[in-house]
Amino acid sequence: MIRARLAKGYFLVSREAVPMQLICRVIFWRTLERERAVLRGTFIELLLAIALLLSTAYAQEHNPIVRGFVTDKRTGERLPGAIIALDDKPAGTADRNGYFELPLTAGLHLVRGSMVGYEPDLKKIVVTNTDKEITIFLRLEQKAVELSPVSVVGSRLADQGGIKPMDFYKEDLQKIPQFAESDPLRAVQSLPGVTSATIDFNAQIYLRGGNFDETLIALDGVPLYNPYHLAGWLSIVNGDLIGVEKLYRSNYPVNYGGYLSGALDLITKDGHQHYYKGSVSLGIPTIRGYIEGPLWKGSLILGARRTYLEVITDIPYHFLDLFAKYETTPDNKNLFRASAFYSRDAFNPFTHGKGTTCVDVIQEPNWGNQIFQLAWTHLFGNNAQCEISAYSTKSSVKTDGTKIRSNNFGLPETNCAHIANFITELGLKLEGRLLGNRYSLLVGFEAKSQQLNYDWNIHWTAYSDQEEFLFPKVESFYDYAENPFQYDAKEQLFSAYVSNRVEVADRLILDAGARLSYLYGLRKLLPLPYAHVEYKLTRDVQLSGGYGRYFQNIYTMKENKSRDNMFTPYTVFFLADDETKIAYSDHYVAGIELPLSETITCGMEGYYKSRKNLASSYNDVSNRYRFEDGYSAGVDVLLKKTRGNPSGWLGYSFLRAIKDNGAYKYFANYDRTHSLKFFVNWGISESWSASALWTLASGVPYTPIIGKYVATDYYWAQSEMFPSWRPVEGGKNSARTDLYHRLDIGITGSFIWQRVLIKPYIEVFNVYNSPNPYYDEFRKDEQRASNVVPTFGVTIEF
Amino acid sequence: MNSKVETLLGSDSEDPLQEKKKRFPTMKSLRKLTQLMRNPMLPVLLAASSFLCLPSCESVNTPSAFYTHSILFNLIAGRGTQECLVLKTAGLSGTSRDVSELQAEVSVTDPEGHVYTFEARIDTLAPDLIGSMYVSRSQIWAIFGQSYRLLVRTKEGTITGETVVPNDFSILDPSGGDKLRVVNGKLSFIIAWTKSENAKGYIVKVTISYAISLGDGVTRKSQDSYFIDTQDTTYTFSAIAPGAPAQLDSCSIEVLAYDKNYYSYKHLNAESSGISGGYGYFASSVLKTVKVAFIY
Repeated sequence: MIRARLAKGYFLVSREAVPMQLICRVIFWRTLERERAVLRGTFIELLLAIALLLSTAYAQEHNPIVRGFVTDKRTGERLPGAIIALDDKPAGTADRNGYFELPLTAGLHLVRGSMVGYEPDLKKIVVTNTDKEITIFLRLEQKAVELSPVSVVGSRLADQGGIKPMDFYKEDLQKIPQFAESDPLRAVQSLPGVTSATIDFNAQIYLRGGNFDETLIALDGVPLYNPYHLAGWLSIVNGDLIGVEKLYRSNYPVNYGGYLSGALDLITKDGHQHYYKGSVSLGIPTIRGYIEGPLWKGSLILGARRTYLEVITDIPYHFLDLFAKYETTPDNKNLFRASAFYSRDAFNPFTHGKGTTCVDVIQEPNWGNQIFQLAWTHLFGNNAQCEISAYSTKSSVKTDGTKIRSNNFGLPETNCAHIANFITELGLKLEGRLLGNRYSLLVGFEAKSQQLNYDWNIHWTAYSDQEEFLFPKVESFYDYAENPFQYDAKEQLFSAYVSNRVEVADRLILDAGARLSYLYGLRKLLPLPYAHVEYKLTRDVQLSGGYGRYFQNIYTMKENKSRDNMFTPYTVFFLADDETKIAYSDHYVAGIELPLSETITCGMEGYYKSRKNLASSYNDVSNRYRFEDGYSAGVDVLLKKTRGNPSGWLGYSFLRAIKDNGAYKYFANYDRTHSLKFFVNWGISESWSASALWTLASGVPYTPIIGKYVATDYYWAQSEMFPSWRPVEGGKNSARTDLYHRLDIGITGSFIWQRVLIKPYIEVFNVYNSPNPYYDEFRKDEQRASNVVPTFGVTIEF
Repeated sequence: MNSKVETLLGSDSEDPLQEKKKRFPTMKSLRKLTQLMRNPMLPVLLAASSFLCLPSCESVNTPSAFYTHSILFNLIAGRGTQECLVLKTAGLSGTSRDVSELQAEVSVTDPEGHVYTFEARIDTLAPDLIGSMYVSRSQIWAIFGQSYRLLVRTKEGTITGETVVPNDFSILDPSGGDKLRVVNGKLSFIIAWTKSENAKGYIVKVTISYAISLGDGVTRKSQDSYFIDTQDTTYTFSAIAPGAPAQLDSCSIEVLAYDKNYYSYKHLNAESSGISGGYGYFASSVLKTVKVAFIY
């Protein structure tokens, strides 16, 4: 501080910029006040003022500043209006982008970010004279308060309660190192109770001993069939658009239905109503982006993603997905929402490959999904709301052509290729919630129509009856279905459900309800009870238990077992055409959750799921598939550290998934006895964070080859000089592949440039090149590694 | 940048106002755990969890679907001596040079209950593969449209089978005594036959016999065979005729009408077709033969 003595007294001149006018005014004042200016004094004062001005200007030019963003730690969303305090004094608020900027002096400073509903974040900064700019990120964590479930603006019907889903937010997604890019489906595989039964890159999920087709995967509650790109390596949903993923590993609530194992609901984020924001990402193998902002009286989100590999390589494949959602609140009691989603994968070897000759290609192979949804939410007072929604979801795969000859990628000559497969579902839902003093009531009604139409005819050799006679029933990439194949099936389901979550006593909460479903085509009524109990053993320790009954009338024959072609772009579903093919499951769960320390919680949950009428596949020509009973049981343990640095979790699962074909019991293809997952995220500095995910799991069961027999009657062999052999299979799934383990790491940066956040990342999949025994059950001496796969990219958030 | 940023509160650290605690475990946490263990609900919970987990400990014993023998037996109507391969199943590893089974008892029962037995002999299936062929001790003239049963007894167990012989048919073209013409070194002619009821398909075998003069009055006889598998009742045969100094001798055309057991094994890759208790097949066929000469 400099004190300048001017006129009478002193006035303090701070380090802030002193305008030239003030200097002149001072000098002028001096001239006016005193008739005889002491030239020397005036001159000295002038020099001082100029020196002050210059030093202030110099200081301002070279004073360090602190700048950064205030964000929600879970969701990554910016928090505009957050209060910024410097050295315990209010210094301003974050702007509409959540951005702030403050000048500093050398020395020790405390910068605090705070906001209603959040825990404050405090950073200690040591500034030296040579520092020019310091970047910090204030990440605020939501306080654990009960939020009212009733809210119109940007609302989602809050969880009814009962069994709590495992929630994944966008920020969580981005921390987990993954192959290619962060994927909402592969991310949940890092949790206990969730496995990938087959290969490293697969995004299909298996919940607590259930097949992948037994999990409902939904986008804002709308079912997705075949929700995969790249033959199952990536999901079709762009992770940037996800607000929260809700995962129910078992005993899911009554407002979901029709699936045996569990549910994963991908809830898209709500658009911002006051300003525009978004991001653009370039990685391997996609470029993607989204933008959200106000439109008319509401908000709009647009998202897009596309691969670019066919531009830089010879790979004749690409995918594209597009998303749009508009929400508007005409008043404070009503919310309208409309959304659309489109995805398309295209494989174009016949027109884009080198050395290809093709004739009469009408339509190259392509597959994808389309979803439309409309919803209206209305508030009745402060404690009741109702939502009406309608949706359409469609999954298709198509190709058409004749006389296609290609020498690309080892594809054989084809004289006919026609595929037109469609899975269509239309739904209408009416749901109401009523919040009382000690209860929360949920009531709903749902009607849906499912339609499956398949038509394919593929001939890999000359198209003739003779060739068809010699090579009948070719299973050309549609599991256990003949070629050619036609299938048309339809079903209408009507469901009503109710559940009431009641605080029976101070420590005891009971959630009881039921879902009643009617399958119109089969004239079958299915009562499905549901119950969940929570008991606070102590202040911190909570016990829980539950029961639920579930059914499934739509299924696949695919079980992803050994020797299956993993590059299947499409899975065929079938509808139960009689009562014996409706699958049932009773879920029993019991768990405990307790804190082990201030920052570490421990959750343990045991479960048992009985399962009846499961479709199972066999290699027996005369009986390719059958319906069997079974069960899955196990324990999931999760140690989670959510606060502090580092953070992460350690998850362990013990699982038994058994099937019974009436003659004997055997392990299901996706049984993994032990599974250990260790995830850690470490903030190295303000700008860099690192993460690692290590997975250790038992091998998967497979049916071993235990012998061989002479197969050819060489007296009538066709141009064969020597007998050939056929393999002899052992008991179904009686062997198990070796232990599987893998380490993935990732490093992410956060840098600010012109109020734009730039996040480069590098991820390495399978760091120490661990082999995948899944590939090698027959040739142990020729183990193939999964390969070390580095990926990198950059995200720009604005 | 020389500054140092340290997080003191909220998302990345603990409250600095409190004494810094050890993260895990703390004495307080251990006390909490001890209190928890004294709670009477805990044993109830552990019992419930154990109850749920118990089924997971169930051991699963799946049988090995392993037949010890395989049978390759095509009962041919139109031929008296019947031949049946009875072989042992080989292990996965090893060279398995010998799959012969010489101790089996093989018999076929005809519709009238007459039992025909077989005797074993070593048979070289391939240069490095020894097998065992069972030959009928007496002639078995299979009757069209009739059912025959197979019984094979080994030390390890019993294999049974059943087959229905396809109905009769005849070769229409060429007929015996016809002469085939070689034109520009090519042989081309149509083979036609009548349909055999109950037959699933036909194998046509064309054998061209020829002699090669080696000089000094020495000739060597040789033959080329061609196989065709078809569901049709006609076939246009076309092949390059052996050139000089080969002299075409004759052409033998055999048409074998086979049953559904053979079709299932050969084209549907059935593990066991027409038999139970072993791999392979017990099938039946009707064989017709016609011999023709050549003219140039």
